[in-house]
Amino acid sequence: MTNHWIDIRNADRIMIIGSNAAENHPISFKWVTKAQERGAKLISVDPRFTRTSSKADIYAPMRSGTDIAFIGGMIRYILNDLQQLSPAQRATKYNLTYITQYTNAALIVNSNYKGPGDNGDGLFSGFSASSSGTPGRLGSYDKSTWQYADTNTPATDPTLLNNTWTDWDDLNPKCVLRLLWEHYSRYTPEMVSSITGCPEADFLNVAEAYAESGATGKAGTIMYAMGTTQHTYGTQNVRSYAVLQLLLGNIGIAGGGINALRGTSNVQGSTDMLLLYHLLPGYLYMINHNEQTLDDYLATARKGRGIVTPQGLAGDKSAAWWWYNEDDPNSKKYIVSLLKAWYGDNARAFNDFGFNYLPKKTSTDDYSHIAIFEAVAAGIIKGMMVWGQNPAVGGPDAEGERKALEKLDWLVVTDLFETETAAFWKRDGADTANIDTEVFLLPAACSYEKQGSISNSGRWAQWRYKAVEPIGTAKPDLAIIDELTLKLKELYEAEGGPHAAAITRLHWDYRTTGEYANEADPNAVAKEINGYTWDTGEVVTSFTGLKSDGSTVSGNWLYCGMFAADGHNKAKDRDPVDASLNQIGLYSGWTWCWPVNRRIIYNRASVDFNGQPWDSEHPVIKREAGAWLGDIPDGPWPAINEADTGSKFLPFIMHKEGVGHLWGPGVAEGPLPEAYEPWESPLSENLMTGVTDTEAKGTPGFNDPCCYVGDLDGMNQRGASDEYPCVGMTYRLTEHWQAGQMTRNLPWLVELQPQPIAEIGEELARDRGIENGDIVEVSTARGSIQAVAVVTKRFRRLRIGNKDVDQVGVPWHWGYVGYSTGISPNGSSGNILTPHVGDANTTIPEYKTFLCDVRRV
Amino acid sequence: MTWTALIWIYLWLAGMAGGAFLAAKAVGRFSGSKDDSLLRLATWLGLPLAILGVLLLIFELGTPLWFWHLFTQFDFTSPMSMGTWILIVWVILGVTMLATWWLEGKVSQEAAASLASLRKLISRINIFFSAALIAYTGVLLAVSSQSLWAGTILLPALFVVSAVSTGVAALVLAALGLNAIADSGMAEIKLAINQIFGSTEWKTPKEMIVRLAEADAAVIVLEIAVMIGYVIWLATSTAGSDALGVITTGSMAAPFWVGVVLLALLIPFGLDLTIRNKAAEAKGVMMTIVTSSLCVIVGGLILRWVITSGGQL
Amino acid sequence: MAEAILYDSTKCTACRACQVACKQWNELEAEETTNRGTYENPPELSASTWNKIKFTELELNGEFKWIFTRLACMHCEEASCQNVCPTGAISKTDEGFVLIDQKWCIGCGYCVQACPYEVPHKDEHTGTARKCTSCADRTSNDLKPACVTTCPTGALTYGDRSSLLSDAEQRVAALGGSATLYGENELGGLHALYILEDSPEVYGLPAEPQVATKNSIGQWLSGLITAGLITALPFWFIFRRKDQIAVGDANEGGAK
Ligand code: SF4
Ligand code: SF4
Repeated sequence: MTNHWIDIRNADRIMIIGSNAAENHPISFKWVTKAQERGAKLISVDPRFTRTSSKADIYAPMRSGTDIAFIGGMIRYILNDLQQLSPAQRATKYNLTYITQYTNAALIVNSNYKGPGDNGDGLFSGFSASSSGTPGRLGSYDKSTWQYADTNTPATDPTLLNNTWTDWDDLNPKCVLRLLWEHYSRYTPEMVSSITGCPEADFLNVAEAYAESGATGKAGTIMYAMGTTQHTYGTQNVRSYAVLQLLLGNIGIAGGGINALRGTSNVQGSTDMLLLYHLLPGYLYMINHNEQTLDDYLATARKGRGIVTPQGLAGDKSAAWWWYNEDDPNSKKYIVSLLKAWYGDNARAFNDFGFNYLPKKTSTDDYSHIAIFEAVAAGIIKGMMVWGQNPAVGGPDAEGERKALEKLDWLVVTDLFETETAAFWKRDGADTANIDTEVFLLPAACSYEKQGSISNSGRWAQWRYKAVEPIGTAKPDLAIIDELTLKLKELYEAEGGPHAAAITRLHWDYRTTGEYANEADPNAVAKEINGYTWDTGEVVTSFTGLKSDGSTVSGNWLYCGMFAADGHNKAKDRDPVDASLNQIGLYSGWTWCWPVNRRIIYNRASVDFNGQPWDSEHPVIKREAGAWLGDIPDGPWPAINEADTGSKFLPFIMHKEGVGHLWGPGVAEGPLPEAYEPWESPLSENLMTGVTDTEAKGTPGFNDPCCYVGDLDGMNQRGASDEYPCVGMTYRLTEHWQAGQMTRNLPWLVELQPQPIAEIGEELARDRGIENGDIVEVSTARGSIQAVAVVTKRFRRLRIGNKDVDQVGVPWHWGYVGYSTGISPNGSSGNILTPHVGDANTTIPEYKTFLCDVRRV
Repeated sequence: MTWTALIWIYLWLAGMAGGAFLAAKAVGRFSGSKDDSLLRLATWLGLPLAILGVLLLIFELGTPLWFWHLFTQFDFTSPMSMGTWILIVWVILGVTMLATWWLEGKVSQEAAASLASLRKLISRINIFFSAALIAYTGVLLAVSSQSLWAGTILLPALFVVSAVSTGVAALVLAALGLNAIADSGMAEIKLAINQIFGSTEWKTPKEMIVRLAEADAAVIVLEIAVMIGYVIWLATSTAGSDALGVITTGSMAAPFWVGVVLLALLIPFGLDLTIRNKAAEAKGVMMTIVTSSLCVIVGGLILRWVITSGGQL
Repeated sequence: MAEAILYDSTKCTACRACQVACKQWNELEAEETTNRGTYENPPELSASTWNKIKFTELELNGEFKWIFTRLACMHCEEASCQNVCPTGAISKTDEGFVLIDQKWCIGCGYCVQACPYEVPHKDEHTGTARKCTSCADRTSNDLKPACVTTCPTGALTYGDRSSLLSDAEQRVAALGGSATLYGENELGGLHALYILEDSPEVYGLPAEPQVATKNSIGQWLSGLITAGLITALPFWFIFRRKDQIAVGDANEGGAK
């Protein structure tokens, strides 16, 4: 989240899209409700009418996987409005200063750029397709034509900045706003309705209501979750929210933002630490194989990250870019402190601080969930540790992943209960005689049985305490890792092995006293994550205090500052007083959040050139008597008008050009999001461009041109709409948690949702002769599951192009182990149905849209 | 379902017991006969039925051993509390009456005379308690939130009429049974009955039995009228007609139409019509009366079942 | 002082945390359920389900709606359950909450039949009737009822009844349209108050609930008068000819 949970209450418009917040983040509705009480309008855009929709002022249905078209239409609505309005009206209805001065709207782009509408192939300039047949991305882009015309000092369009235009032709043909119009003018309400199936009136209702949050002093927030991200173009879905929010001046302000509601309580924390294969803790880049020294690594990390200074804007300094510092780069301070945390005395200047103890990845290979399971299936990966995860239920094409597990020599599962993954060899149809995998099940303590921190979606690190002792032999994860690592060290020291030093040289001493005399102490780990001076053990209180000479330790520079100078852990703070300006609910003394306890990031965008808030009722920060009041500002520098020429800082300090990205040249499949069809689509033609689906594996331009497609011969089959006419989607229910191991074993929760369901609309039910409560079978090219039919008006038949399309919804919680299991022997997980394809940028699996059929059993 | 078979059997038994007593008193009153052996029969018949019913009720309680909590409370607003006390009084009065009959032959003439007048007094008081007892079987249900029971005020009326109808039928069967014993050679049993009744005079004239059957037919006419009123009243409200639907067209429809309408009402009424103006000795009369009485009794049970269960659906 | 639980249906997301919190605090068993084509479960309140959310899909003024209602004891001022209880096991606290004394209830089931909201149920294990207590064991210790404490959206609140009433009135006025406040006067005033978007019937609540004992006198009279008539009319009609039969006449059969 750019903002945080409580801040939702400050919004005037709340759009929940790609999220079912009421069901999956129930507590968020505490704040949504408060906003509604203040008169905020809640908009729910969702393929199905959910418990979230039930509370919405406006509901708009859409076909699963068509967010880019829907949001694109909203962007067009705003752009069109901007052009239609007179310059004076334009400046009152929208925050024109924000749009032109705080985003890259006015910047001039490379003249060779071509958009997907220009060539009729649905592709941006620079595309080349991969050789077909092998698993991997459909294609990739050379992004050079997407850059600014002048890459160091981009020019801006004065006509736009001065607000002296009335027609699009008045603007520079390559200025971002004009390119935006050229791109998005194609997203007409008729087109949006035709692609998404949302009736035009409903769509316009949403567009109009949400555009109202563009006025200066008004705030609109977007709450999204896995309904947005789990698509082949998930990243571009999020990008379209960014474009929309920037046009409406909704980033950095109270009640605004792009708010990712993370799927579990500590996803934020695990992402911060090193959940993703391409990142080290604190979002440091993962090391590539060709970076053989620390300097190589830093050179890559620095590459293309120089100062870019847009010309003609009120702000003239964008070098707040925190990474860049020629003499002593921050990136070096962070990675050295990290290496020091891991290798301690074995991390010295002479050995590059142990840089080469770390594994390196190839620059192109994918090591995401999908790719890992393909490697397991191919016999490349021989052993696996599955920790608090249950891919046999939660993985895409779950039956394929179960089969892959059979190839392992050994498997260690750490969980609260026996999971489907641990029991994969017992599942229906498993040929036990031919499975040689040795499976170990380690009982883990649950969250109430251990202490430690979790980082919530609002980036708050909150300390939790142990309430009860773990049951039986269960242990906290940390204790298990501790014991395992020490044992591994011992074994490698005694027996050696490939690259043994990476383990034997580890600095590993987290045991303290008392309760933690024989078990790792989470407090010691927290202190290391925060950072301290190696010699004295004194905590470092800010990442600015980290050193590149090996004198400091920090497991994650972003968390540096969680500890106060006196050594107390601010994640344990519980100050219930809201001391923020106008009590906008920052509660800055309640736990601690990264970065530097800044509750709303990009908050310099919430003020004008004088440092005065756009919204005086909900000021995030405010300049008064030469000082900033309120939240921790995004950089300490004075307001633009107060600063000297040459040091007037632009607000988006995370971007090298200092302004928000309407135009995003870094994303894999284009600088602007373009509507592509899901990998499995009920259509044979992309309605936006007319590009047809010709390739068995997916067609670039019809489908996302850079999406990741798994092995078609092995785990992944692609269905066609004649056989599988319905659009299927998976999701979670309030009453169950993820792959179900924690909830399907709790009778109280099972009582509420005892059986897997398949939700279908009344029209489809009538056509298929299905009655409410019947057992039905939902099938895709990958497999089929049985579930109880919930026939409901909440699912509507949609008109897509000239076709009627029905949608089928299946929760994916169920499996074949535990107190509540599925109806079909395969456990009825919705993921039996999902394909092994992933997002172009992140490879997150496509869980949300696929083709299926449903019939009565 | 909270109230199961034990409850509706109990309501049926208690109704029959109170109904038989009332009928016997009424016969005594309107026939002008000084002989109270019919009343004696009714009392002897009713007491065990009522006591059996109470045992069933206690058995139905969730915590049967705590049944005595009932006697710690006298609550006008709770029909069950009132019913408890009515039953207790009714049983005590009934037992006292039986004692007087039993003692009568064993004491002096004067004492016997005062016993008889004591009995007369008690039996008069017990008219009220019998009426209250059978009314209670309906009020218990009617004071509730179940539409089928509480949607009109005619349910107590219906149960009262049915109670008298089943009471008469039970009397008829009991009398015929005793007559059969009297006509048989079972000397020891006769002696035992003499002992129990404290009298040798316990045979009921056939003529009387025919009259009772005729009276039952008249009661049934009224029962049909009350039933029609009950149905119409319910049908006028939404909740009531929904509730009515359960018994007329829903899951209780079969027992309602066959068990109640036919068995409890139309068939016995028809049978009783066929013996009208026939001599008691005529062929088949007694057989018809027996059949009709059995129908009434079984039908009465089914009526309690249909209403008690149907009201909870 | 009179207290109450206020349920604002317009804020309820049917997350059912309240349903689970109730079971947890009161140590109630889970029921074995099946999916019947709806999210709603268990199907009804029971001895081990004292609080549940009812789901209704319907069209209101041409607009599709998914509405939710809380079902639990209303803690009626004129409590039918208390009126009909034959043992005095049901009582009212000073706060206005209606409690069934588990040590005195005999499990006759009368309250089950009498409650206008189908709230109490007989527990097979304890043999007694059980229902929501408004967490009297919590409220008497300055805690809120478990359901209220857990409710994430603020749909459930607990406190002084009159101040909740004035909050609720304001909220209903702010909602406008056909929004209704339920429970202010029903059955002498309920201690569970409802803010509804529409009429109570839409939510499956009786618009004019009646206390079960409302017609008691009428019912007794119906029975007693009928008893009088039925013993008078037919028997008079048949036996008025005081001629022949004296029962004794036939009594030659007795063993002499
Ligand atoms: S906890 Fe609150 S929001 Fe959730 S179902 Fe209960 S009343 Fe509704
Ligand atoms: S709702 Fe029912 S159980 Fe609760 S007080 Fe009212 S009558 Fe009694």
